[in-house]
Amino acid sequence: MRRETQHAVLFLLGGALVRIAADETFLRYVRPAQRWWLIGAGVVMIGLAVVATVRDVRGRTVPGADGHDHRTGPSPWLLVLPVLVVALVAPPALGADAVARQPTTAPADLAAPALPPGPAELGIGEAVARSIDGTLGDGRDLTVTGFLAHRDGDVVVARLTISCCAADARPHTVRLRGPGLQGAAALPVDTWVRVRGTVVAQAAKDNRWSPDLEVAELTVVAPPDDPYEL
Amino acid sequence: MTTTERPARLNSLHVFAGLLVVALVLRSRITEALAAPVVRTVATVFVAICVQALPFLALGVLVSGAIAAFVSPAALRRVLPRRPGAAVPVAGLAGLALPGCECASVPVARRLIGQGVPEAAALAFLLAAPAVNPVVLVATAVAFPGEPGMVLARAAGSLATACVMGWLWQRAGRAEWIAARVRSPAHAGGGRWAVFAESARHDLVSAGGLLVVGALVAAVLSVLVPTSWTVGLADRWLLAVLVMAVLAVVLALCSEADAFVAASLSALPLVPRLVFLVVGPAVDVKLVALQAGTFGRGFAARFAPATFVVAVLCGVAAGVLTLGVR
Repeated sequence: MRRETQHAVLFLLGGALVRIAADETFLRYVRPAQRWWLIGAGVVMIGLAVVATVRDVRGRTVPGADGHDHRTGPSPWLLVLPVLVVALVAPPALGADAVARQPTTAPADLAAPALPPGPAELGIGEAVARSIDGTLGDGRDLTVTGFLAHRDGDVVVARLTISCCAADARPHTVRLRGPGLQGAAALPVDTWVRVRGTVVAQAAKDNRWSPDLEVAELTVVAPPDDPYEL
Repeated sequence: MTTTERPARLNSLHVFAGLLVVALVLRSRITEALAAPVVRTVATVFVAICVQALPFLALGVLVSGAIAAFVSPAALRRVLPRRPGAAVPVAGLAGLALPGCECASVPVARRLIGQGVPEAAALAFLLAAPAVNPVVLVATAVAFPGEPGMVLARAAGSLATACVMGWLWQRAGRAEWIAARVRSPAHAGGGRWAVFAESARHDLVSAGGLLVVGALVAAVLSVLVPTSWTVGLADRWLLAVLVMAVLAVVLALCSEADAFVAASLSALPLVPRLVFLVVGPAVDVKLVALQAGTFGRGFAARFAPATFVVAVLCGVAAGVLTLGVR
């Protein structure tokens, strides 16, 4: 690949990183804390591309006689791929497909303080963890927010937990039950909903870490900026 | 291409511009083709791995560029013990100083060899840096709050893997397995800052492309080979060790995140999950792609399988010694 093409690819790649970090797009792929890392990396790439271009134009570098950089091989071409995928498609955050594909996994140990009695609104990862360690308790009025997914014939409200990037996502789910289930089953998967109901935490033990929720109220909501939980 | 080019000939810049135009024109078609849920999941994981790893790679090439430009071979010789056998563990412990994941350490190890560091020591650094650094060890402690032994076992297993591979290379490795270009010092026709900018740029462009291959393979495999492999392995200890070792290779997780995934597979025994943490930062598909491109295919074809075996053995040994058979 010619040097000037390498510079162009590097410039675009840096631009793509800055671009997705400039709004909320990057939250589909990584944790919010990585925003400044992405901007920094983008600036480094743009800087290296600009410096190299300026030096080449001034004739300061000594490239091969035909302008090729033989040592890099064909691999620089592949850098075009993430640029194109981000610029053209900007794939959405992981959703129902990823949930259906993976078995749900155990939640992290919370070691969190006991919940005060009464209605609670929790993240799904926390709701699952508290179902397992007993701090949620059966029969509590619980509200959770997540996207709808189907798994093994059940309708679940799911949230994916990531610690670094979407490649390490682990699904946590709450299974919907009761007469209110019809409304949820009629909605397409990946619809974001806020569900209030009565929790059957005991079910989590028999159902691979997925407590049951007897649906009392279900509202469709807008997707949050950060679709993942930590 | 060794033929001389005429000015009017199609070159890569034209191809690149054409590619961009075609992509823009066909944008809606491409989006449609990617609408199937499984393809979208793969695309998301692919972009996620790239986006997550590129900042670490950028950090790595800044360090590697600085080594090429500002650290003289004489200075490195003064820091490292004279005997290569003693230099290996020192280089492994030096990995503590690079708090990144595995993508950062490949260009750094390459430039260390370029500046005359013994290959065995540079390779020990390559394997240790992503696993034995404070960020990764703290993440492991957070992921396994009830098991402080995991942190110790992980550090011991990874450091042992790095040292054994270093010594193994010193004993059996041949210089010609590593591509000759690695050993040539950087040149850019200018002062030190010019060497810095040109080495960093060159390492970024060549390693970045390979990272993309690795990310693509890892994204496809991680979607097609899901963690449901691990269901039903709870009481098959040895099989669980092997499955977790293979999963570590195909999932290609960042070493700062793999502990959380291992913690979530709580149905499995502890030692197989430790093996997952020891193998992952030492050998995975994106790392093999980076190594093949940086040090040559002949190198990767020998180094990666050997590392896999050594890492599994060291992981099991460290696990059994600190945690017991569980």
